[in-house]
Amino acid sequence: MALIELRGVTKVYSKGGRDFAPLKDLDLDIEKNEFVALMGPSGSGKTTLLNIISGIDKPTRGSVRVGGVDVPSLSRSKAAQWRSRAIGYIFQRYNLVPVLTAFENVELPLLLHKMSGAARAKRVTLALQAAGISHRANHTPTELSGGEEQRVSIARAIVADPQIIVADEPTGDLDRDSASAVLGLLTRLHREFGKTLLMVTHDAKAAEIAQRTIRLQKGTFLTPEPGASSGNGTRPPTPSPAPTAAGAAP
Amino acid sequence: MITYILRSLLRNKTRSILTIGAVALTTFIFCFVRAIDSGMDRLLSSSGAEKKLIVYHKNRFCYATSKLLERYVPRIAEIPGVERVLPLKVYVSNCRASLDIVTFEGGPTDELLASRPIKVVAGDLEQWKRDEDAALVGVALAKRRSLSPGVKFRVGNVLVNVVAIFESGSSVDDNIAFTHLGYLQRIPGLNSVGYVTQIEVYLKDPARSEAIARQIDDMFATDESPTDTKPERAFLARKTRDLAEVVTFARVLGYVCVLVMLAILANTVVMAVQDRVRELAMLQAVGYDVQRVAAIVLAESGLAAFAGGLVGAGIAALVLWWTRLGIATEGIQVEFALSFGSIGMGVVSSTVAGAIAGIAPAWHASHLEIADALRSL
Repeated sequence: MALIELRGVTKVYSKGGRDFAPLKDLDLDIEKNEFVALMGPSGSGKTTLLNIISGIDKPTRGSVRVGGVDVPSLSRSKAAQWRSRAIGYIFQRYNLVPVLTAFENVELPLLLHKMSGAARAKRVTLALQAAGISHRANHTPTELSGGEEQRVSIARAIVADPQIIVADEPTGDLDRDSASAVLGLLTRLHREFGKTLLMVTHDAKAAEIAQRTIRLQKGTFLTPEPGASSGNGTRPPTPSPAPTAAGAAP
Repeated sequence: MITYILRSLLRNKTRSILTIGAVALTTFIFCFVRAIDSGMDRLLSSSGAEKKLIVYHKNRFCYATSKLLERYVPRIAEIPGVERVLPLKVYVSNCRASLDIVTFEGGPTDELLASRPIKVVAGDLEQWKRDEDAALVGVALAKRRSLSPGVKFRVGNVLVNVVAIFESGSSVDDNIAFTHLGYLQRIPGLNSVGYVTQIEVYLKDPARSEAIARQIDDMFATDESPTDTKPERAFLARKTRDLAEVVTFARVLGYVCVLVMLAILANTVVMAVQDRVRELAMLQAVGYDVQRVAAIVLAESGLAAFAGGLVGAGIAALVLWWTRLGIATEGIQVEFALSFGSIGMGVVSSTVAGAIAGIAPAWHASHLEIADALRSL
């Protein structure tokens, strides 16, 4: 059974009295430890799909099971609690709290879990180290570059050791060098820490690091072009993950 | 989490300072009103209850117009159940409500000292007994008018020589200057030799107060100065009736202040939430549930209100302690009394108002459309 399993997922919004369907009857399986890139033009439904998988949004029709959990059936609070354990979210615009330091930003998700201050500090430090930003732990977001901010955002996404990381255009606001560094970090999370990654991107080069690329257009998946190395349904062998987290990553 | 809440409060310093300032101001007013209220309560509860009757001129409501014949005194003293009688000539600088009224009470020295438990803190009590124009000044009046033994003190036609300062523990007496009865009766313009303003009647048995009051009033019903006799508490309540109405109005103002505070806080918290819709959505995206997000907003609102309440109540306590402010009407001094209970009530009221003001913004923040909010600028 796939880690993420979507069946007949449709999302319909009403806008100005008219119905608008960013997702139409989608089926999707994503295996554990898989790295999937989700591509498509603006308005194709990529972010909506990501939000539905992470329980931030609910489908109008269809089923969404993530790690065996029927996500749409969860109440708002239950979905939040589930997300705090199961999902790490990386945003395009980082969404760091400007009045907190990098360390405190990364600590935020851990405040939801029962653990001692020392244990929390240890996990935050490990996450910052894994994201290569521990030297900026005491700086506030205004003192960080975009690339550094995104690293802090990645550290925040992995600090609670979720199985799934969803990234919504994580390199969209970054220059080429920073984007490349962030992509390298995401690859490492997948290869070394065995995380399942689902990344929305506009950038074909960014999508190349994924094992599989799914293309969305007008709310439906496009079939892969013949001979393409990636696309809907093509699934390269999953690399065996490095032993997780306990000591190496949070 | 407390770090996040505190830093969020400080992220817009100007707004936070203005909000805390507004809450402090309203709490200050609230405490001030409570102090007047408590002062009135204290005045009425500290009075001699039913053990002391005040005989006053019937249908006269001001010291200047109440004129009882001094010859009534021995007749009242003869009534069974009366322990002692104290005739008093009262002279006030102002019959109306004022923040600075000077009250002179002239009485026979020995009876006066027997009736008022006072402790002389400066000067010479014997000189007061001896000298006709000597005044024994209450500590609060002395402080307010910078009086000390040896100083001559004039109010209107009354010129006295301050020879001693006393304290009594009663806010009314501490604001009075005691003089000799004869001296006050002979003040030019008063024309009141043989007359007194009121007669204090001390009873052996408080249970008989009503019967004795009726007996006194019946005794002089057809005399030159018909009397109206009341227990001291009822007398003070009548004297301060106008003030009590002002206090009632002030009390309403105090509650309106709390409502104003509520509106100011609600507005500030709504703005604070609107400013960081995306951040609050991020918190929910990383796992903060409805209750936690609501609690953050409520805590911020409550904390700002608590800080403002603390500042406002603290300033009110300092101002009232430093100035010993009071208001007097018809010569009766009501000292503003801010108790720890009132300070606590001010702080708690502002904090609760803060929490209430945060309810709607907290609900809004915790029920954001996360996906839409994450896309917002």
